[in-house]
Amino acid sequence: MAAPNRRFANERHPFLKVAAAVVALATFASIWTAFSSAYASDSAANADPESFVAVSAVDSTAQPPVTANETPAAGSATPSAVSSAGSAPPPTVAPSTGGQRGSSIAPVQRRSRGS
Amino acid sequence: MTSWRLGLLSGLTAVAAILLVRASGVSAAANTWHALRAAGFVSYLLFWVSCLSGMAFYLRIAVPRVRASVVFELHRVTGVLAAAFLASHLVGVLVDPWIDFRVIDILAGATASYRPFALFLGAVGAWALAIVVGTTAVSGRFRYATWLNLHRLAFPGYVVALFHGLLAGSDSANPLVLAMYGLTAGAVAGLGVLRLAGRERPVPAAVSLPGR
Repeated sequence: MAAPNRRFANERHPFLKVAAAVVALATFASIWTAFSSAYASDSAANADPESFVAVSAVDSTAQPPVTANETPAAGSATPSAVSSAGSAPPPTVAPSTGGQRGSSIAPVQRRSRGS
Repeated sequence: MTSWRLGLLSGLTAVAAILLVRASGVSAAANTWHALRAAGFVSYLLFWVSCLSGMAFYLRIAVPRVRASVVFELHRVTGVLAAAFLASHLVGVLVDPWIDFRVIDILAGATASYRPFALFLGAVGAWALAIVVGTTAVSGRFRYATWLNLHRLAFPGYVVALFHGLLAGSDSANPLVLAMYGLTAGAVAGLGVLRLAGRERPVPAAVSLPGR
């Protein structure tokens, strides 16, 4: 039995190879677009007032720890605190990538929620 | 155009797209993240197609109106393309401004701060794919039996790539993604059972594979 490459040395399929590459690139672009669209719709949902309240309620249950020099109000990093104070200070704890990677929400979106 | 050049071209296209998005500035972090995930998915799917077509070729499973040489060509080109998209996935991980991985995190996986076990599996799968594709590129230097044994690393490589996707991917809770993993793994498992149940193909004594 000859090795496959030797057996098919005279049988080449250039169109198959090009088609496979084109399909792969098209799939890559499609999945990328789908992720971006899902991210955009998530962002739009978060911009909705009702969703905004829901996010605030969730975030308020897990606020970052407050340092000794900060008042609890100043340390709050919820969106409601940002909107009421106008310019909230940055969170005292940097967002952790490890603990937040479990969701399908894009990283920037998670980051913007915490600041 | 050879499979290698085609794979190189496709990989460079994907890498260029990711780098362009990364340099664009506007929502660069989010778009880089989406792109590297997409590259990971495509690499996994190509790896799966390559495994499936390779097993079908090896088991001589007849596909109606498809010649064995077509199945073999599909097996080869999808393997090269899987490696190319894997490379773009890794480049995306490296340049992503959010996750901040080092080269050692990509090579070893376990050193990363984020899900080290899942990334270790990904690193093992990447090494397996690299060895399989690399040894095929220089297959003329190996005895056929040696090359075939190295080529069989694709099976554990596929399995750890599957678990890397399930454990490290941020979309694993998505029903569509879960269905995709289930269907692809089921197909490979089915052919794997056939492969284990069937007899070994005879290995030629002194035939070397010429690299194309």
